[in-house]
Amino acid sequence: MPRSLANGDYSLIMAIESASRANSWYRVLSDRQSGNISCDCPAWTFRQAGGGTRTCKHTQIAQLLLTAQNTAHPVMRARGAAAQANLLIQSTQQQWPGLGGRWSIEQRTAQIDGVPYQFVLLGLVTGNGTTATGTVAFTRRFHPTQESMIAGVAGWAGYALAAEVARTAGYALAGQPPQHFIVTRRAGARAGTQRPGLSDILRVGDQIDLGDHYTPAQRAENTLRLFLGTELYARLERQHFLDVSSALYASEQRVYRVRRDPHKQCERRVRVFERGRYVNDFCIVRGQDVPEADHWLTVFLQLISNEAEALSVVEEHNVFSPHSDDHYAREEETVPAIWQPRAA
Amino acid sequence: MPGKSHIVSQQELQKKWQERCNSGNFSAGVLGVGTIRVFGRSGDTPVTFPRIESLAALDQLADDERWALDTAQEMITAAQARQRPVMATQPPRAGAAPNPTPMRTFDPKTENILILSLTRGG
Repeated sequence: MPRSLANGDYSLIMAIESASRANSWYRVLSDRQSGNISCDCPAWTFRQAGGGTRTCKHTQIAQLLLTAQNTAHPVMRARGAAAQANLLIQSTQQQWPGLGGRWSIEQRTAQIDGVPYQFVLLGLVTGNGTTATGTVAFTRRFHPTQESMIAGVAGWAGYALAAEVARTAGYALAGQPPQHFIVTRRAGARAGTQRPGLSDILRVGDQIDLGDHYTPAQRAENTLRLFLGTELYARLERQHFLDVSSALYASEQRVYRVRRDPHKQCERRVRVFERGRYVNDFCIVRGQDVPEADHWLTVFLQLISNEAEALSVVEEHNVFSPHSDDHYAREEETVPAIWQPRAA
Repeated sequence: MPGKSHIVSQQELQKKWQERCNSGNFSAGVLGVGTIRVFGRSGDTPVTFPRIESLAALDQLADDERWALDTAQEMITAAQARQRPVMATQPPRAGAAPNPTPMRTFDPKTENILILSLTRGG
């Protein structure tokens, strides 16, 4: 069997994003037998000169971060309840539901060859005392916000934690890691087009450039238009909401008014009407990095077809009184919300 | 990096499947081409698969068709494992409302499958 990260021959020290290509990832690995550090990047792969330790800028920064020579500037650190409330930890827990224990998170900034990077370090101490860490380095210009780092942290740091926890529990195989950059010498072949493993197969949805000349927002808008149909899409464009009658709360004649930001950027709270009266706002936001149109369509289709699941993310603290998101520029409802019977 | 021969083989199957989609030259058991749209940062990546009456018809498929179908099935399995909502739905006709149906297991006859995005309370 070939030696690989998935086979448990290496441990993942850090996933580091290419400075020039968004979401193209190099893995800095440590060989469990020799302790040698390697990287997927072309510089390390083609640096065959004998003598001395084979390095690249990624292995160097990884070693710096792991040692007392850590010069990266700390910007955030959280443990305990503060860590549990952290968006990146919550997303990682959602993607790796088996990981339980005491979580911590630390974020640092540093430059690599003059390019600003943001480092996210997740830590987990499990109930039986296993300590695991996962580190992801994002190119700042590609991932300027916490939300934009969700997929990278949950995918890579989550994988590193899960692999370490699995290994200490006696499971050598850690499953397939997320898609990463591969140096290939085959003419015309593109890196990273191999069939991904089961754990990351859905990351096919995270490739920004599909060669179709559309932006992600345009693609999502096209899908929204296609699956709403011309009439409904035109109505949504005109009134910036569509109503969904509740099947679960038929006795209250509940109607969900699924609203859309006219600028197609932000989530808007779902207005809840009962017997024609506006009673609450439900705050449902993106749980992963997707264009606004994708999120809107997700909420709309789920409320139609699987209301209980759509509402399962709405807890008490996600329910607000009316006009909670337009308190000042108050947007009064002029179109009545009329409940129509539907099959549950 | 290890596992390159495996990677090449997958790439060849993928290429063959794409060529077959372009040419329309499918095996006898194929009803048509189905599409899974995976919501993500790309704003929906379409992934195609050969539609067949049931998984019992797998034997009638060529290697690349079976590969595409396996990939589609794995995607649905992975989506279920990640608690991503999966819907079978059709673009509605004029005057009709969308009629999405939650998909619990992969149905190889389905024309349009959406792997929706994760939501959370805000």
